[in-house]
Amino acid sequence: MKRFVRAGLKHNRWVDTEGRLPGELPADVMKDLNTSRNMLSVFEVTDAIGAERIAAALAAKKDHPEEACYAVFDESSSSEYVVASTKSPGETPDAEVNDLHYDLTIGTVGRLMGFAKVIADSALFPILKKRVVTLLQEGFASGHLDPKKSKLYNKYFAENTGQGEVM
Amino acid sequence: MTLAPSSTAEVPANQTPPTRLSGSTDQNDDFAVVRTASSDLQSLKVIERDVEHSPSDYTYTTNALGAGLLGKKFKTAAILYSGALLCLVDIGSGAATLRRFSSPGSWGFRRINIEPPTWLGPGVTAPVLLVPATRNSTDERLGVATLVEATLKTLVACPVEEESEEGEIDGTSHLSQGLSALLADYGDAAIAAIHKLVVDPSSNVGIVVEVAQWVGEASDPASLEERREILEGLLKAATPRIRHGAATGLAAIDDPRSVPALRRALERESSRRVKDYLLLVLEQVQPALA
Repeated sequence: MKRFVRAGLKHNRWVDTEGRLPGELPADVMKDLNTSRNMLSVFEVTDAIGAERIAAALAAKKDHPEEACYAVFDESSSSEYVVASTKSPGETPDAEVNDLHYDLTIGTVGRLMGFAKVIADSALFPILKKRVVTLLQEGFASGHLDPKKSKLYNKYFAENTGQGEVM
Repeated sequence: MTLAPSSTAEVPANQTPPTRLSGSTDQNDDFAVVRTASSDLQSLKVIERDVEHSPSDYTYTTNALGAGLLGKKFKTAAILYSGALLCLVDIGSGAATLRRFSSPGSWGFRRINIEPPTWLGPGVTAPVLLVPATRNSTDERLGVATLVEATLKTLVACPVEEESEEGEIDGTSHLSQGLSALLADYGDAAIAAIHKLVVDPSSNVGIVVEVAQWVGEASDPASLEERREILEGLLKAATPRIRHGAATGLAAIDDPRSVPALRRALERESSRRVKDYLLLVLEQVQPALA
């Protein structure tokens, strides 16, 4: 059974969600569940690559470091709302994370609301900005994160990692 | 308060002291308001040392800037001219940053060094708001606080920003940028207005959360204490999301002095998610706690 992570969440939006029915969830949580072609982007969590590294990979796509948050859920808990799960290349600056990317076909608003309830009832893990900065620094220094694919590298990390700017 | 030229003060050759600066209409810890004749303002000069603007600005600055900006502790002085806020000046040690704007919504920013006039004397410790006598009665009655609150109201009424497919907003939000500009230009008056906004029960929760986060992240050391106090107060808010936002702000400030307030908040917190989050912030702010 796979375990997925949906990262790029705002923890604050999910504060009031526990125990609520799908139709009673705050509307803002849907901002964290942007779909494209009726599909939702998630990553599989493995023993080798944990959820925090996935969250850091997504944080590295932004143009400035900011607080992050992710939810971890079992494939089984979301199966009712997922029409199909398709493996596809991710687009983060972390190549190994990209290999763990899936598109979950949700299809309808009703199922998306049900999926939101899955996230609301999941374990949510906020990562404070200070920790995000540390994770990014470590990611760039270790080579997990490709500076050329990160919008924030040159501005925030080129000097600290000693690798200089990338073009 | 009467601000007469000090008899012992040295008046630089290019600074003409006004014959009289008196008739304070208001004074508190934030501002000393001094009414003076427009001609006095016109006569005050600014010495430029570090020119980073066009020569045409010089005339504007020299004529417009009433140089009663002196004091030991103040951060910002505001100049009103003909009832409009003309420019604000941050006073540093021997230098000042002049900001001005020509119309609401059109914010200008540039830096010059000015030589503080010495005639004001050492006794003035509050910011001096020089008010030309031509200022109308409505302006006088409303004052800077109202101006700032109106600007803030406009800011928070701006349309919410669209996020990209990745759920990210590129760069800083318009609200954050606006708040930073407001703080830079109005200092304490901006902080007071922001405080009023975030404790107002009728304010939109999402807005308050975003503002609380900005309050923590603002890069303005001068207002750090006030901002920390605002956030610590918000930890007692009735709405869990606002308490969460306050904790985010305190994490950004990252000051161990917030630990007692965070601990108290943790003890009384009813929301599991906010509780978990407070614990995370506490662990960061006081690493030894873990």
